[in-house]
Amino acid sequence: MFFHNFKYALKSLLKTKETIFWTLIFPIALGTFMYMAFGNLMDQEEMFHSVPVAVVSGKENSELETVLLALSEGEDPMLKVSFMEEPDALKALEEEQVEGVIYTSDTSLLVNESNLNASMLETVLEQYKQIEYVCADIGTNNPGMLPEVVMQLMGDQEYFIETTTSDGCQNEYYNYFYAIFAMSCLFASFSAISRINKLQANVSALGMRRCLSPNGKIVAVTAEYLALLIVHFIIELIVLAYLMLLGVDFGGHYPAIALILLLGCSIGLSIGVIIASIYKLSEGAKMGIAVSIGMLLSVMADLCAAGIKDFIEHHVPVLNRINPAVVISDSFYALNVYDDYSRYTGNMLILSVMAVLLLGISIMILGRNKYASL
Amino acid sequence: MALAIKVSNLVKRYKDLVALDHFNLEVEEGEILGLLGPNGSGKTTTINCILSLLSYDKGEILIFDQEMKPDSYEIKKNIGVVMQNVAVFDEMNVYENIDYFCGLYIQDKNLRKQYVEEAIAFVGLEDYKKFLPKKLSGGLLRRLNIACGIAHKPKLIFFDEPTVAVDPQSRNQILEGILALNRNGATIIYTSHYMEEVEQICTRIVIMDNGKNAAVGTKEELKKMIKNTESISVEILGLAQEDIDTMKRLPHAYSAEYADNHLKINFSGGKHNLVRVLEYLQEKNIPFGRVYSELPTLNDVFLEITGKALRD
Ligand SMILES: Nc1ncnc2c1ncn2[C@@H]1O[C@H](COP(=O)(O)OP(=O)(O)OP(=O)(O)O)[C@@H](O)[C@H]1O
Ligand SMILES: [Mg+2]
Repeated sequence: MFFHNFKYALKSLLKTKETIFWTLIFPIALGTFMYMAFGNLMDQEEMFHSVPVAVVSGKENSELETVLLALSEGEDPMLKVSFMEEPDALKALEEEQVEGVIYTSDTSLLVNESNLNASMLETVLEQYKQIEYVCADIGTNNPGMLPEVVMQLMGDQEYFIETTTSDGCQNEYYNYFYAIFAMSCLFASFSAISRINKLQANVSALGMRRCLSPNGKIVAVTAEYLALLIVHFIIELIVLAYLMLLGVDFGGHYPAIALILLLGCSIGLSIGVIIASIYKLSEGAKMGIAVSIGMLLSVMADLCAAGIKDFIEHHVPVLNRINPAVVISDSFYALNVYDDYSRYTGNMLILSVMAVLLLGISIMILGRNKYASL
Repeated sequence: MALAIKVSNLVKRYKDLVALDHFNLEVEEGEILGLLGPNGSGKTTTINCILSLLSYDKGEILIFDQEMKPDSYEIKKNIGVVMQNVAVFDEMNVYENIDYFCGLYIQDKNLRKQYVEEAIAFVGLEDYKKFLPKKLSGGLLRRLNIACGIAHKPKLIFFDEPTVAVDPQSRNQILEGILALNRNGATIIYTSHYMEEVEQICTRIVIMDNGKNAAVGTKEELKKMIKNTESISVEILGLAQEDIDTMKRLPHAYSAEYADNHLKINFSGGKHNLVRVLEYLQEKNIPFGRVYSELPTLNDVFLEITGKALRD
């Protein structure tokens, strides 16, 4: 009986266009749109293109100068170096013609604001200092060799990109894509509503007919839920694959990402089941509630504009812990930015507890064998 | 005869409204019972209570001598329901819909396949197996709805106004189908507004009014319950009051009216009423045109018992 219900639930779901639209086509369209809007900004390498920097030469540090010059040569140079006197350099920094001023005399750096470019310049100098220290011997014996060694050790730009981003400075545009996943997981509630409505005798004629069959409702409800979960999980994976093909880099950890999506779908579906069990409302009203909840929670997770999440974090942080959309998008973020899994694991625990709790409530409401209040 | 359904003293209230007021009903195995009543008389409420879709305030409901509850799965296995509203999945085709509902009752795959094919043949949808419900005409859709309710070959079948909004041809096919199901051994409960349908197929009729049963019996028995047994109408151009009064005094006649060049006399019993009327007219040399004799309909029964028409 379970399998019979499950088979037909799957069949029905795959033939229902609304499911496909709201959780597959809509996120894909939104993702494509956002990629077109932010694509360039997201492309990290572009951002590291030739950071303009002013160099104020001291007396005795021709090695650093050589390294800086070497970094500003070639096809895709990291730096755009201009040698200046200190007043000119400060003026250029003020007018934002350069991102920073490097003093070769004491290997120090002056920047205006701390942004990605500034931290990259910092990294360059840090690395230089370390290598200079390590290579002190080579330096005294053969000063001319130093720049070459430094260049080799420092490698190419990607090295810097990695060192810079693992400091937790993650491209903010990715948050939009994480929020898209949060949204489409929550929108799984639509198909849950439409399926569960067809199970309730007091909501639809179909539900009435199914209530007359000689089977307990728990079986039908679990079969529906499992079918919904599988279909929506696969849809999320398709959206993920599409965005990756488009060029959005989720930074690996794919099994962990899949777990986020699975738990996310489960929460969206349970929310749908609970909304569906309010039998006094029409299907339209239930959908309205689901759209509102889904949108509200996603907007609170910065789907439309950055800053809302941070604002809530500063004022009512507990809201961010229990808003599934925030937890979902934060899990992506945690995977990408932190080297260990502790924040991610915490988030997964929150999502699991939420999913189990919501599912328990919905099965309790629906599975009881009672007279339908027609 | 064994009883398929026995409802005793059923009371159902919706807040202040008493929808069923100590309603009693007995359905014998093998019969087609018609549940006839005006809008709001409680037909659907009765059926929903019997099916345990609706809780009730008082009373007892037995199906095949067992108490009926929401989890009486053994009883439910033997029941089929065709509701007034079409209840099918829009996204699944004719075959899939019937197979789904049949599968809720019949586990065995081969048996199910056979039952589904038989149901399709029974309602004549052989050429539409792959059609989605929205591609079916109204009549065909009703037939699909019926097939979904009866594919598992239930012993007891409820039909709640299955012919509403169906063209006369499809309606006749549906009625024929119900008779065939009954011939194959199913007990049938049939509700309708349409007297002609109930007269045509039901072996026994329960007339409901205000949540009570106003009258029960075969159609012949019901017709005997009322005073009027025959109405005779004669076209006459001009008639004296004296003649009208004489007509009123004919044996078995209980009323005579003359209006719009028509004389209408109602009789209660008696055998040669028409002959007597015509003999009198000839005797008096009164010329007359067309003559009609009408036997009472269930509508007359209904009108006399409840004081209102069955359909508005
Ligand atoms: N859910 C409900 N809440 C309140 N009153 C109801 C409800 N359902 C039915 N009623 C009332 O109970 C009475 C009986 O209704 P029911 O639907 O059983 O009549 P019916 O004989 O099936 O009528 P119809 O021929 O129109 O289908 C009516 O007065 C109706 O208004
Ligand atoms: Mg009704």
